[in-house]
Amino acid sequence: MGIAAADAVHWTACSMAETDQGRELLRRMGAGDPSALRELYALYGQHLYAYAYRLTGDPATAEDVTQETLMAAWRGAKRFRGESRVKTWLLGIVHNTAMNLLRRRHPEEITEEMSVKLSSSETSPEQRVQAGQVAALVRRGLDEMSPKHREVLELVFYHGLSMEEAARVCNVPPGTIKSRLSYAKARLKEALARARVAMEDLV
Amino acid sequence: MTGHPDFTEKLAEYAAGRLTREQRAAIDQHLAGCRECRAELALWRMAAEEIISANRDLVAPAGLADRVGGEAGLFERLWTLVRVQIPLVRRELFPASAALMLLGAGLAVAARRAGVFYFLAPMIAAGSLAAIYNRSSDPAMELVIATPTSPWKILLARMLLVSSYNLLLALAASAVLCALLPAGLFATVVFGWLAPLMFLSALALVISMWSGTGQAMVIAYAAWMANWMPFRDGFWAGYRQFWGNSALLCAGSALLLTAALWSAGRSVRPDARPEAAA
Repeated sequence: MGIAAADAVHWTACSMAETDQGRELLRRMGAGDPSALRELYALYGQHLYAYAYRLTGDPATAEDVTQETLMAAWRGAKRFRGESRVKTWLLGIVHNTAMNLLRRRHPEEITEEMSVKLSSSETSPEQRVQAGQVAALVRRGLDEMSPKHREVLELVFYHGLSMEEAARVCNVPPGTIKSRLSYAKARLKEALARARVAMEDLV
Repeated sequence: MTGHPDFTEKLAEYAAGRLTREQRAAIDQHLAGCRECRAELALWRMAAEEIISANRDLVAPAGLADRVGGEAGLFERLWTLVRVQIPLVRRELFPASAALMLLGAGLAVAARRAGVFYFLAPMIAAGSLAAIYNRSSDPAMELVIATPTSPWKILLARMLLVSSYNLLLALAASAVLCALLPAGLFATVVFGWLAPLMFLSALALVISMWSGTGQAMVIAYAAWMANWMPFRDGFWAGYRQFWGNSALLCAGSALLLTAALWSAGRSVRPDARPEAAA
C-alpha cells in the first residue's frame, strides 16, 4: 500500500469550509429556521447515524439516538459557542445519548449484543479464508475489540477527529484516548499473531 | 519528535491523514529506516480501510430531521420529551407501582374497607416519585449536562409520565373497589385518595431532590402516617384538617411542584455543558 493511500480516507471532504457551513446552519437553527436542521442532517446525518449504530449495535436504537441528537441540536443551537467543530459537538451529543440509553439496560447484555451483532453482520466464515486474509484478520480483530476501543478507531479513522476532539466526544482526557488507541493496536496485533501472521509480513 | 516511540505514537494520526506537512515529513524520514514502524503504519491503514468499508453500508434513515424542529407543535415536543424519559426512569418502577396498587386494592377488598386503599395509594405514588430523581447516580442528569434540554423540563416530563401512570393505576384500582365493595360512587372513591396522593407525591419529589430518595420516602411516609394516628387534640386536629382539605392540598402541591422545578433548574452546573467543558 503506498503512502499516498492514506489521503484517500474519505473524510478529507470535511474541510474548513464545511465547518463554516455547519456553524452557519446552527446560527440559522438558533433563529428558528427548520430547513437549516434538514441541511445539517444532510451534512452530518451519515456520521451521526454511523456513530450511533456503532455504539448501540442496533439500527432502531441508533435511529432513536440520532433523532434525539437532532432534537438536542435544534434546542441547543443558540448555545453553541463555537469552541469546537460542529461535527465534534454533534458526535459528543450522540455519545452521551447512546451511553445513557445503554447504561439503562444491563451493561453485560449490551456488550454481548453489540459484539455478536456487529461481528455476525460483518464477518462471515467464508470471508475469513479469502485471499485478503490479513485484511480479514484485521476486520476480525476490530469486531472482537471492546466497544470503547473500537469507538476511538471509528472517531479517528471514519469521523476524522483529532485525538483532542475524540477525547472531547468521549468525555475523557486526551491521554485516555491515546492509551485506548495503543490498546486497540495490541488487540489487532494479537489477532494477527493468533493466525501466525508476523507484523513484518505486512511490509 | 525525536525517538522511535514518538514516531510510533503518531502513526495512527499519520494513517488518518491528520498530521501537518512537517510532521509527515519527519515521519516519512523515520519510516524509511524503520521496518517496525512501516509494519505498524500498514496495520493502521488496514484498520482504517476496514472501518471505513464497514460504515459504507450504513445509511442514515431519511427524514429524521423533518420530525424535529419548527414543524413539531408544542404538544408533539412535550410528548417526545416525555417519551424519551420512559427508558430513563428506573424500569422496575412501573411494574412495582402496578403490583403495589393491585396489592392495595386487594387488601382493601379483603378488609372490606375502601379506607385501606385511601391510606395506601398516596404512599405508593409518593414512593415512585421519590425515586424518579436521583442526582448522584442518575444517568439522566448526565443527559441534562450533555444535551441542552433544561433540567426542569426533564423533571417535569418525568413527573408527568410517572404521575399519569400512578393516576391511571389508582383509577383502575378504584374501579375495582367500586365493583367489589359497597364503597359508594366511583367519584367518592377517587376523591378519597386524589388530593392526598397529589400532595404526598409532590412532597416526596421535593424532598428527594434535596436529600435523596430514602429520606424522601421516610419523611413523606411519616407525615402521611401521622395523619392516621389516633391523636385528636390541638396541633393534630389541625393537621388532620389539613389532610382532609382538598383545596389546601392542591395549593400545597402546586407550591411544592414549583419548588421542585426551581431546584432542578439550579441543580446543574452551567460549566458542565460540553460546550464549556474541556
